[in-house]
Amino acid sequence: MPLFQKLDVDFRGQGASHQMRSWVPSGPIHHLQEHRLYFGLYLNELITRLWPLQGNSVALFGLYSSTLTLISKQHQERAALRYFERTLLAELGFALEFKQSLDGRAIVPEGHYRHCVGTGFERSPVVPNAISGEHLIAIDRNEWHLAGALHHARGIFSREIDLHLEGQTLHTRTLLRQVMDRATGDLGAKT
Amino acid sequence: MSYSPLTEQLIQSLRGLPGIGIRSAQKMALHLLERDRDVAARLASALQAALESVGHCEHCRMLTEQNLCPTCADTDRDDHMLCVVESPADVEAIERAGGFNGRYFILMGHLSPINGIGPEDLGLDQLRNRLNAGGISELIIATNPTVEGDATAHFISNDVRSCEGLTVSRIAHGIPSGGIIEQVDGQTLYRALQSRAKVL
Repeated sequence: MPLFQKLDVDFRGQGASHQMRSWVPSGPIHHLQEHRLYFGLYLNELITRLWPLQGNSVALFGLYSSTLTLISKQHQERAALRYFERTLLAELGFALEFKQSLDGRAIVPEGHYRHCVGTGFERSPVVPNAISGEHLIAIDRNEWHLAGALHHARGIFSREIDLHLEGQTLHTRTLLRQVMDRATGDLGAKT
Repeated sequence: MSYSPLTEQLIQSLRGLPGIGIRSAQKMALHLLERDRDVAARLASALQAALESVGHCEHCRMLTEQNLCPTCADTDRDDHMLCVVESPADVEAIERAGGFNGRYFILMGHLSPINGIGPEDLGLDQLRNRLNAGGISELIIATNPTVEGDATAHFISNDVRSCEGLTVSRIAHGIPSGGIIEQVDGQTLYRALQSRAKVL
């Protein structure tokens, strides 16, 4: 069965015991090459590890498809991956609140915050791991031109995903790290 | 229905085989125990003997009872060319096709993060050691033209980048001989167009 292509799948039976009878391609193939292959496999692994087996979501499928398109066209790959992670968490019911800190006050550009995994952001003094309000607002608005926004988003969503993986290993992340170690370019920074 | 403990153990063992679900495992177990005990005994004996004697070739990882498989032990083959394949069946296919007289390295799979298969499971350290030992001037990556095969090929080509003087290539993919373009799937056709060869 091809990956990264929309398929019409025919199932026999119902519930957990259903079996696939046949499939036919029903959309264009997303041609991913070189390091972009790993990005595609990363999306697949995220869904496989986090999304319920029988669950369906038209919105998530649409986002998955459009994310593959952006990756295949090398268009804002990192931003696309971060947006996918954020939306997947939200679809799973684990949306992060970027507008208010944990004490209920609005997140402001001049403030600094600490990421409390699984709960949100709390006000913090200016310490090395603190994230500026300006960055959180940029992430919330998908305004990725602000330097550091993608870096912080990557850290935030990685920590959130790790929490919900409940100890499962995300093998693509390991693979990407290994590629990063061996490639001359900094592939890890691209993810 | 509940089976005897040993029958249940057999069914569960058969379920461990790829593509075998509970119903198929039950059918096979019942067939072996009720209809064909001779076959069951031969299977058990063959399995026991294979487990005791069959290992991996020290050079290419092919399944063999010797330290080196017949291909690696063959002194008439070209030591400068190494072809990386996913499975022993791929070696057989390439040998049947003819046209390649070099050495092989068998990954015994491909990168598959969803199934937890990473580079360490494919013997890539062994491949790197073999290349670092010198003598090989061309590495031909013959992984399958699938997403996982492509990822594996990309990973290997990155991994061996530092081997000086090594030419790395990947086998061509495209329309099969005797094929008809309108019947070829989109992915194959795309690859054929991407890797088109200049004729003039």
